Amino acid sequence: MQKPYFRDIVSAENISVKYGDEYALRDVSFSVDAGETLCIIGSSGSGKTTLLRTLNGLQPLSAGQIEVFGDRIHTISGVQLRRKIGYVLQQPALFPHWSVAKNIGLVPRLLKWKPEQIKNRTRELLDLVNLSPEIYTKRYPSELSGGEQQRVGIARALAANPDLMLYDEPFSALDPITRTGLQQELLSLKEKLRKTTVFVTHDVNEAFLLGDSILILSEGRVVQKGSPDEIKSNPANDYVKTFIEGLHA
Amino acid sequence: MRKLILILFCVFCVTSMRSQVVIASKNFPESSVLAELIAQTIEQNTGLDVERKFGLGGTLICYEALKSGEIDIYPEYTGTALTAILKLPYGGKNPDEVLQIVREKLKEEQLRVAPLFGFNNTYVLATRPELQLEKISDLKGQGQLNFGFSNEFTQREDGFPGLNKAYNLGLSTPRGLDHGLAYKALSDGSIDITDAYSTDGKLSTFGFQLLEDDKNFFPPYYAFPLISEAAALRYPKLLDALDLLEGKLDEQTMRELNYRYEVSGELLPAIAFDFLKEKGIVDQRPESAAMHPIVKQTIDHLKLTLLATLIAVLLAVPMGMGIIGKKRLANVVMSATGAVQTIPSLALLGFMIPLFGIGFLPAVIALFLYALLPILRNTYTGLQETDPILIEAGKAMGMTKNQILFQLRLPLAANVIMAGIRTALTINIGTATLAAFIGAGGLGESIITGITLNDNNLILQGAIPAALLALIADRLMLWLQKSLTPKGG
Repeated sequence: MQKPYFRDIVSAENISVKYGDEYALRDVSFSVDAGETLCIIGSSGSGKTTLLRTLNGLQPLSAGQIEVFGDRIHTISGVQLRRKIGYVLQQPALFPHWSVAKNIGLVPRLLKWKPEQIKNRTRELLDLVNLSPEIYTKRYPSELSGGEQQRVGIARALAANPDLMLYDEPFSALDPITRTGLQQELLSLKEKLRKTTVFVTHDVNEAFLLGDSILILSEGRVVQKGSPDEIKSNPANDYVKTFIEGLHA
Repeated sequence: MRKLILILFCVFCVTSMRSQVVIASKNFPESSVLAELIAQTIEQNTGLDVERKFGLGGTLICYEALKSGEIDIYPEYTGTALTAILKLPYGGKNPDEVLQIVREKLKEEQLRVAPLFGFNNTYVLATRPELQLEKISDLKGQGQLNFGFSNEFTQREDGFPGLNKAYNLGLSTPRGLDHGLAYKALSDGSIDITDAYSTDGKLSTFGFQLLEDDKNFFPPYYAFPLISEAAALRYPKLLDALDLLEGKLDEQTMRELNYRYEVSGELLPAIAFDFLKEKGIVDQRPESAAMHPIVKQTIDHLKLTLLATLIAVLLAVPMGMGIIGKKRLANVVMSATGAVQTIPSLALLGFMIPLFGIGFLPAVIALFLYALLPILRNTYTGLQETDPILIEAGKAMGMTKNQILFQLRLPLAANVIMAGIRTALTINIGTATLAAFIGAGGLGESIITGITLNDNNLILQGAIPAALLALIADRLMLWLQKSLTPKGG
């Protein structure tokens, strides 16, 4: 069967997720173009993380459907799908018994790359996230600062050069100075790599800095979506307004 | 680590495979003296290798072991064989009749009664020579004598009550006293007569007059080597060697040998050699036991505990892996292994006898059951307690369930699992001292013999190495635990 041409890397149609009788997500629809960065903002409990986990199949849907890379997920192997999607967690969640290099090399190893290839890629990635390979390859996660750990977390997610990157509030646990630094670095990575990205945050400034488009979630529903400018000039309701008011000048 | 296990396993196999004649004794001193006499006689007259399993257990344990082929020979007594093994009444038969019955009935069980050693270890009545009594019938109407019998003897039907009736002595039941005090009381005149075993080593130091049982009231307890038919057929030379011991020991000689062992504390090989040399049965002093008994016991002890723990690891770790995330199954499995743990160790060893007989195998199985819980519990807990965020990360990176188990959960739980193995091993080293009760050897042998001989030195000879082993094992496992724990974890 010939696959239809797809422009959207991700498209979600009327998806709902129920925990018992409670809706965590309700009738959410959106799509992400190739190379686009979508930022999802919402307060805690708004369903942002649940939404992100539906995209790599970790969170089953109660209704609706999602296509990633043109395939309806849940019709394909979740394990295979996740190896093609980079995922950066809120806590870096590096594997404490593995060195930095071994952490970064995980997905390439799962994909059975050659050891030499993995080694080169690991160096390249450490350079990319501004960690000197000479110093960091052999270190263990417990020997790194929070910021360094999250750089490694990003390198690990990028390792197998995935076509889609998912970030789950990656900088929320960091101190403001480190956070600002990493935001700037991520911005320049974005310019460099042009990866399709879904980035979840509760920090409106981060969202407006990194996002090509913004999706605002409240209590599991989409309140508004659009470009940063559209949202700034035309907030849909009071909830959005309170977010906008948090923006720095 | 793998190499080490392999080497240990090979050592275990090689040392277990050598074919030998296995000679056992019951758990009291005279039986061990007799067994050593048998052992040296066989070693020097047949050229066969002998393995000694002394102090194996009571009559029934030795008998079962002989029938199952676990051992080949042990010393038995005619009266014991008749009443305890064959469960036949004594009924005043004469010694030859008893021997005849025992020989025929045991033959049906594929066991052979070798020629008698000569002495009869039965109840005797001891008195002072100046009282001028010679046989039990002389006691008739001697109500003025001061009788002092052991408490047990005054109660048992084959003791005073039966004796009184059979000889028609017409005595009233005498007071009972502690047997430990009887000889001294008799020699200083506080009592005039007491009961004793005819070959009791301590008797030989007092010049007591022993009264003849002229009406054969006491069952005869003539000692003889009991050998399995299978061993007799496999090594026909054994029977020729045992013939050499026929009639070589009278009561007086046996008392002296017992005295040297029990009271003077001489070593069995020396006692047996002196005697056999004098009789011209052996001429070479036994190689001062190729291995010191403690060394051999330590090796046996390690074999028992290491093998039991190893099997437990091989079973409990995969089992722990199999039950993660299956809460109900986990509960069932954990309660079952926990229940085993509540059985007192001696009882658990006892339960093994009807199932697996005696010796190495049942002991390993019992110790294995004990090792199961700590290893299983720690494996399960360790694997279960992996940080959920790491598992989420593993899943999100596209790891399969098995990859998460083997690459994340297992190495992260290594520390906890090793701690469980360490607990199991240390517990087993202690518990294995009880394995000597079911004939599995090990350091418990010294401890148990020490207890029966009331010999504190012997007890310590087993207890101290056992304690040291436990400490060393604990330290080694701690070191192993540290070196196996992943660097960052």
